Amino acid sequence: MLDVGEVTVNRNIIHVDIDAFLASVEQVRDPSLLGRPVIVGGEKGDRGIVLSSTYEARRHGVMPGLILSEAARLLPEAVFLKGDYQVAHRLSERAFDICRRYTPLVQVTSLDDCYLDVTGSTRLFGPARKVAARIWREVSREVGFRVSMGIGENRTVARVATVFAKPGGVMEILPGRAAEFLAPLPIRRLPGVGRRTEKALHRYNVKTIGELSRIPRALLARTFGLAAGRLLFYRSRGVDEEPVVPGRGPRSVSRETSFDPATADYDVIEGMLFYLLERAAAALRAEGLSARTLSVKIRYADGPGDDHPRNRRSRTLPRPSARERELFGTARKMFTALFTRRVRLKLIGVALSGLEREGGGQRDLFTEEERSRTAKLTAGIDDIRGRFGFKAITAGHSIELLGRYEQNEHGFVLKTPSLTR
Amino acid sequence: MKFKCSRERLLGGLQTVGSVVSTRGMKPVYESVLILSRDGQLQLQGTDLEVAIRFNLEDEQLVVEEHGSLVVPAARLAAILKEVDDDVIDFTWEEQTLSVDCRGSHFKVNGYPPEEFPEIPDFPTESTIQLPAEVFRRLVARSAFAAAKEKMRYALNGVLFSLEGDRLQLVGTDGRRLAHAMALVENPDGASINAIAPTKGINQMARIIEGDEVIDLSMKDNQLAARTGTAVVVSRLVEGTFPKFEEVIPENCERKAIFNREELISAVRKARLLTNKESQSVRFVFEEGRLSLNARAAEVGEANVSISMSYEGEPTAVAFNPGYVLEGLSVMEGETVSFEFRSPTSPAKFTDKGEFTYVVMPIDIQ
Repeated sequence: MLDVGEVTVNRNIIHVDIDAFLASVEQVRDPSLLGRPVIVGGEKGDRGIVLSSTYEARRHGVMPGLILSEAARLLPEAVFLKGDYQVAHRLSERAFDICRRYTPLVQVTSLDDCYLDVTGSTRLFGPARKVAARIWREVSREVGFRVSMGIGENRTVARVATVFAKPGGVMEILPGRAAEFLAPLPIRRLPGVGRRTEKALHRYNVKTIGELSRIPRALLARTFGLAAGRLLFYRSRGVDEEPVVPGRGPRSVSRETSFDPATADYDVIEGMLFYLLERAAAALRAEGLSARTLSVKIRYADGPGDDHPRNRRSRTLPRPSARERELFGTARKMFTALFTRRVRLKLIGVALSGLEREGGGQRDLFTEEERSRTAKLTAGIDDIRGRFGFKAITAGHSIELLGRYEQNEHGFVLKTPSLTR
Repeated sequence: MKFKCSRERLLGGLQTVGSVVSTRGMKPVYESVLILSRDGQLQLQGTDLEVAIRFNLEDEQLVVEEHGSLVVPAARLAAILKEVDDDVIDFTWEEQTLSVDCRGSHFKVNGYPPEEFPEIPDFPTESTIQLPAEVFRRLVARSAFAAAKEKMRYALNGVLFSLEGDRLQLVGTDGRRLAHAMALVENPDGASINAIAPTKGINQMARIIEGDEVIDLSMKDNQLAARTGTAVVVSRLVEGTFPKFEEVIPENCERKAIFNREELISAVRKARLLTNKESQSVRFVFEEGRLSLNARAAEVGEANVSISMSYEGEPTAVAFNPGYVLEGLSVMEGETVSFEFRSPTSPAKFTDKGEFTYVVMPIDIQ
């Protein structure tokens, strides 16, 4: 187990982040766009939001998340593009392959960032900052991306350092200086602190990571749960022993929540099942991924836990999907098969795994029309939520949750705030 | 029960019945064959509870000394008959044990009580049609291959069997491609069939009737039955609704091509060499007088193949799984095949002159 006093090996972790990723992809594909403001998210007249913009566009206030029409007003001369996840995925793999020249320990955490553990490579390639400089040059020359890098003794510090290295720089936090570096920063900079945790901490007037680090561990555990509390306690002190595990991208996306009090109300449980799928599927869509496997788990009020095989079920889908309306039928069947005891439920969760790139798929003879309807509906809902917040539309079985759960702009306020994205 | 019979004939019968009998039955009795004497003949019965067969053994050397029935593991008895070389063998069934007496070797095979053997339905006598075995075999060969292999979509796990008037149609689809084979048959009683038969059952029927000239077909009580001179094969039907396949077969499309079948097969096979498991997709580019095939897979390479053909319509690119295209082409007949489609996202149709239609859904072009 993690313990502050027992960190023996000084690790060298590099966090690599590709600047303005999707927009840079377009510049790599079409070098005539270099130096010009490029906005990825849709054509000029499209509805939707800016997914990525080059620094040339950011200078004029066009940041990711902005509505496209607003971006067009601010910067009419910008190049507006839809973006291409297939190409993006290929180029990002090429950049990360360069990282693999310096260490086998490369963990790809999204399309545009990864962690490297170069502790064992320093004899061969010199100190981490030299490795970083070489990667910077090679990625720039061979792929055409500009990357920002943070170097530190663990993942948390490296990741936070990257923020200060942007755009296109390298920032190193020397061993033993992690806590000092983090202390003055606002708590939302700390990986694992989402909007909900931030808000909760603000209520206690905890604004900086340094202030967070002075809260007793037991209090954090009581407020945020054992695992989350422990994470906050250590990370705020600049301590993070999570290893860099080689792998490509997320392997699964899961969402779960507990019922407090436990419930046997079928409508509410189904509503929650749909809502959790909505959240998990939206996360996949944002990454341009589809899932091949769907899992559902439950926990009864009287235990045994959701890790018990009887309380968990997985199924391979006939066709990969990232849309809740396609997933729900199967999820409901699985849930019905699981929920057999006449005992109230304490927890329900869903997981999407077997992730692969979306699109390019074999079309189906009989379900294509329905699929394209579902795709349009989902895209429409995503669009509206992108502009007016999640709350703007409550659809499908989620309406069962209206009036039962509080809502904010990000959706329903659930009982289990999740620290992981 | 006590009889002697030709080794070769019995082995042949066991092999036919054995193709139905399950190798991993829920109970040992389901892995067994029932042998009974009836009208001076031996009848063999076997089933995997989905498909069942009765097979009458024609054997001039058969002598039944004592009538009765016996049940023994089918594979074991067949293995014994394969090893020994006697022409005629004596069999005695006593106290659930079958004695097999050959020259120099004697076997006692433990069996099961015949009462426990599942009852195998007889061929129904009403609403039957008769057709040449070859016609039936060909219908099956041109439809069953396209049925779904995975168990995900239940109704697609079988072959639609439809008889209306004199049109007998068999349709197989896994949702990505669809094979539709049709034949005109004589149907004097106006029998009507609309059922989904399990792919395994229908393939077995086709195999068992091989060599026969005419067969009878009938559907009754949720079972499809075929009868030849020597055998009755009964298959349980798949429950469920078959999709409305007529609706996805395109008609009168704006884009039409005519190919030489062999040339197209050869071109698709070449292009397929440069695909891999992740990207099983070949791009078909249609232009006037010319079809170019293009395959490209990351870390594999790319292939460009072109052939001449006649094409009507706007130049268009559409991608297909080459395996699906080849499977369809390989059961087509005649020198040329016609091809038509509306758009790169809608179903495309292959037809030959032999009352066969094959529809393939394209892959989204990346």
